[in-house]
Amino acid sequence: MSDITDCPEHRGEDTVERWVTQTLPDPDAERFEVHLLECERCQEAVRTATKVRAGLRQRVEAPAGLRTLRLIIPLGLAAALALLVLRPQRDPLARLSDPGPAPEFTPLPVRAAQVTPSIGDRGMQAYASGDYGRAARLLDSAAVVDPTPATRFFHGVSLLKSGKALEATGSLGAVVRDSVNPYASDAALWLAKAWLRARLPDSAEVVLRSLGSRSVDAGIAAHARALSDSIRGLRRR
Amino acid sequence: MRPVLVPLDPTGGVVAELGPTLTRGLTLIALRALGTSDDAQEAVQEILARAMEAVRAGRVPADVPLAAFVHGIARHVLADIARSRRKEGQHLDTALTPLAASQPSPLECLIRQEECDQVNWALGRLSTEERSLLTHCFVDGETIQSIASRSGFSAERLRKRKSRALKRLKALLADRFGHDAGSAPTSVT
Repeated sequence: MSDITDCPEHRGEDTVERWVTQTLPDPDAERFEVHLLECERCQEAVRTATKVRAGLRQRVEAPAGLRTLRLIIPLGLAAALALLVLRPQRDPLARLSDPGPAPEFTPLPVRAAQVTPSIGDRGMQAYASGDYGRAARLLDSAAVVDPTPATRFFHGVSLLKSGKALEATGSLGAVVRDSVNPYASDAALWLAKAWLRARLPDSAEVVLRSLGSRSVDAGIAAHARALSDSIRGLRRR
Repeated sequence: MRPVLVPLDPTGGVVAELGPTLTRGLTLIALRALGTSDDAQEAVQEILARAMEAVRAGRVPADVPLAAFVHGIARHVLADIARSRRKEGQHLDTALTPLAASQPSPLECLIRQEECDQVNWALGRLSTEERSLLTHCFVDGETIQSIASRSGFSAERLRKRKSRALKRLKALLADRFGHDAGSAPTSVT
């Protein structure tokens, strides 16, 4: 088990883990599944990966905040944010509340024949092209018929990026409340940014504190900590 | 859980040879897509029945590997089930989204709580660094490459560290329970 699979085709790769966690892109997942139908080693590796994931998840869920101990933290992100805050500024809160670049969106390949893009698709096209005002309008309509966490999350980010911070808190807050979705942690971070943008650092701190008590991606945790520290730093001035 | 019946291969050919492996592979794919073992077993039966019918009728193109052909059938069957569930008002997302860290994998119904506890015990004996790395890989589904580019460690070093962590996990499980994480009995048929 020095590699998750002994299969010569997939040894030394991350294919099995990514298939189990559903992060393997579609074409690769399909290729792997065809292989899986014939390969007993990879089938065994899938079971192993599932057990390891379940065991790790159990550990993550038990003691809150354990994952914040994770060693590999994108220190660069935190350091950059800290540097940004330490620079002399006229209005530190305004500087701190700059939401930064919007999360990237990579559309998933669709196997079906080309059809007229839905309002949500057009919203995401506008988002990807940086037209956040248009994206916010289109995704607002899309969220009525398709109120998925993804639609709401990108709607919230678009609102924030187009200067409507308070409105953004509505959409992002909805994603955060529905905690079992892949966007919940990102949404919490962006919700905190929206509160800061709305010049309500107390609300931002509440969100960041709740984010700190949950198991989140190390990058998000580091970013949240840095943002929290910066807010506290502002208070001390 | 009902046992999966592998239909007899009238051609006496490759399907019979692949039978158990093919069935186990299909069970994993169906389980991941459908989330419950009963639904997955039914889907597997349906896929195998259709595959056998196609073999019998000589509809498998000579230039298409059998596994690819069966996988094509599997995709159709799973999509059909998804459609009918939607009609019944049940939610089934056919476009699988990455699992959140807190979300159990549908594949977890393959493992018993006891096995999970054993792996959990062994994970507790790894270093924080080793557990961190495994969490990135097995919970977040990150590639070694992306962890490397974020952390500043080389991919090679992380790969070795991951390999070492898995080796230690195996040794711990073998010492204490007499098996490794991969070879413990599972309830999959």
